[in-house]
Amino acid sequence: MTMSKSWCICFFSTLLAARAVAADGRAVSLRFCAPCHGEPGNGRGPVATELDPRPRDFTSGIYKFRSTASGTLPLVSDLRRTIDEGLGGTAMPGWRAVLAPAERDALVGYLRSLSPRFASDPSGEVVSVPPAPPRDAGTISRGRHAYERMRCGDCHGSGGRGDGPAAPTLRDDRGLRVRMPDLTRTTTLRRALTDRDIVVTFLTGLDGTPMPSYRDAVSPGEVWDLARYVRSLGRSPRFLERLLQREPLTWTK
Amino acid sequence: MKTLLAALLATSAGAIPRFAVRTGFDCGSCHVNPTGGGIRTAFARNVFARQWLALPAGAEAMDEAFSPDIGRHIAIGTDVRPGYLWQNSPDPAFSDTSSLVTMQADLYVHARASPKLALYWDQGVYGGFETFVLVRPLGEREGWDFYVKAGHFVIPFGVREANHTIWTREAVGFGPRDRDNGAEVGFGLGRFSAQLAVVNGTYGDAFLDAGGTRELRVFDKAVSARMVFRARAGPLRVWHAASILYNDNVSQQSPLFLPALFPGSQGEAIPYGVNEWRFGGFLGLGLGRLGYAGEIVVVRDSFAAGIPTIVGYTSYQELAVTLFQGLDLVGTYEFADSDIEFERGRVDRRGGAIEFFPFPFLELRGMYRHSVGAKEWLLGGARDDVEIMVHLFL
Repeated sequence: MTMSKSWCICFFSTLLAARAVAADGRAVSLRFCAPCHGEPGNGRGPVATELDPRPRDFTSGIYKFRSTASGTLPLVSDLRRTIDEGLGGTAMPGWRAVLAPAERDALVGYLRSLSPRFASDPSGEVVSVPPAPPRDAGTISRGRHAYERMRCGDCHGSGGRGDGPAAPTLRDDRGLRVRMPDLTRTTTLRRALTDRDIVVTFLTGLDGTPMPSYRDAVSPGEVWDLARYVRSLGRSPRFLERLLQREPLTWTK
Repeated sequence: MKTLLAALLATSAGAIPRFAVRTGFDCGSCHVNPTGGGIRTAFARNVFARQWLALPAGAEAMDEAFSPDIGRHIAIGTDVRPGYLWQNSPDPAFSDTSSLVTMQADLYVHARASPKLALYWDQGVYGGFETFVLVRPLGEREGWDFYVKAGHFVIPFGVREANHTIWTREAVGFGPRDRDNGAEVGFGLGRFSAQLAVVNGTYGDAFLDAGGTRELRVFDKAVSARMVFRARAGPLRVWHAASILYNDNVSQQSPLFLPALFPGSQGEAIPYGVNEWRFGGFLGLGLGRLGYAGEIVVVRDSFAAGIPTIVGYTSYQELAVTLFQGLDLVGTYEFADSDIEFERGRVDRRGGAIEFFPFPFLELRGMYRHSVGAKEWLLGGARDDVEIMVHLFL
C-alpha cells in the first residue's frame, strides 16, 4: 500500500469516526448549535447579539413552540419538530437536511438534559385541538370580530402588521424587546405552516413572551375562525415593499 | 503570459462585506478570522448560508450537507474559484486576452484547541499563505470580544474584499500577497470593534524588516489601526469603518502612484526609504434587499530619494440588490487619482455583476467592467473585462 493510500484511509476513517461520535447530542450541539445558543445552551453564543429574535435559552426549560398547555414542558415531538423544520422569520434553520435522524434525536435528548425542569416537572398536558369546522361565508368576518373582541390589535395592530400601540413596550421574560411578527407577511411568522399551527399557538400561547394562551377565552369554532382570519391577512407584498422589507432574506416553507 | 495573468488574478481569501452590511453582522460572525476572510464559522455554514444567502430550494434540496468539521476541534475549508476571463483594450500596450484561469484555490485548517486558543492556516495555490495563532484569554463571549493574533496575516486596514482587484485593495498595497508578519490586538463591545496591529511593513517579505535589502533596521515597522461601528435604525443597517496605517522606511511603491512616479512603467522599484500613510473610510448601508458599500483610501507617501511627497486617493462604490434570495445584481464604480495635484493619472472603472448562489456552497458569477483613464496605469487604462466564475466554498 502506498503512503498516499494510507493517508487517505486514515483521513476518511477519522471523518467516519467523527461522524459516529457526533450522534452524541452534546457533540452535535457544540458543532451546530453553540454559535448561537452558546456552549452551555444558555442562548448566549458568540453571535447571539446579532440575532433578532435572540436564540433560546435551553437551561430555562421555557419553550415557545409546544403542543402542551401554557407553562408546561414541550413534548419530545415538539422539540424535534422545531429542530427539523426551523422557525420562519428567524435565524433558526431546519436541520433535516444537515443532521441525520439519529443526530436530531440525540440533540433532543441533550437539550432536555440542560434544564432541571425536565427531570422534576411532569410532562405537559397536550392541548386538545378542536376539529376544524367547514369554512363558510362568515368565517373571515367572525374571525375578524374575535380578533377585535380579544383586542389582538393592541399588540398586533388593527391590520395585523405588528404595529399595535402596545407593541413597542413588549418585552420577553429575559427583558428583551419583542419584535412583533407582521401577520400580513406569513414568512415572518415563526410557525404558521397551516391553519392548525395558528390554532395551536392560540391555545398554548408562546411561553416566555407576552403572547398568552387563549384556551379558555375562545370557543372551538371561534378559534378556527380566528386562525383563518389571521391567515387571510397574508398578501403578496408590493414591489417596493419587497425591495425594502426588513427580513427579506429569511424564508419558511 | 497566462501564468502572469493568473498570478495577477489570484484572489486573496477575502470576504464579501456586502453581506455584513445587509445583515448588520460583524465580520467575525461568519469568519473565524475576526477581521474577515478565509474559513467560515459554523454559523456561516449552517445558518447564514442557508437562511440568508442561497436559493431556498437549493438549501432544502440537499439530502445531507457536507460538514467540514473533523471532530470537535478541527475544521477544514476551501475557496476555489475557477473561471474564464476576457480582456480587450484599444491600447496596443495590452494584448487581448481570452483565458481559463484558477483565480483562487485556498485550503483552510482551523484547529480550535479550546475557546481560548486556536490555530488558523490558509494555504493558497499561488504560494500566498496566512497563518496565525488566535488567543482569546477570556474565551468566546456574547456581546464582546478580546483577542490577540500573532503570525502572518492580512493587515487590519479597511474592509477585506473577496475581489482583491478593486482599487481600494491591491492598488494601495493590500493585494493577495501583501500579508505580513506581526501581532494584532482586537477588542469588540456590542456594535463597536477595533484592531491594532504592528507588523514588519514589508508586505510579506520574509527577511524581517529589511525591506528587501536584507539589512536589519532598528524599528522599521508598520502600525495599522481600524475601528468599526455598526448601527441599526429600524430597517436600516449602517456600517462605519475608519482605518489608518503608517509604514516606516519601506521600499515598496504603491501601484496607485505608478503613473505619477514613472509614466509608462510596469512597476520598477523605487529606492528604499518611503514613509507611507494610508487613511481609509468605509460606509455601508443596508435596507432590505438593497445594499450600498463605499470605501475611500487616501495614500500619502514621502520619499527619501528626492522625489516630492505624493498624495493620491482611490474609492470603490457598490450598489447591490437581491432580486430574490440567492440572486444578487451588483453595480460598481471605482475612481482613482494617483496625484491630486496634477491632472494625470486619473482613471475610473464601472462594472456590473450577477451573482447566483444556487446552493449554500456554490456561487456562479458573471461580471463586466469598463475602465477609462490613464493608459499607463498598471491596473487601469482603457479596458474591458468580462469574467465568468464558479466559486466553491466550504
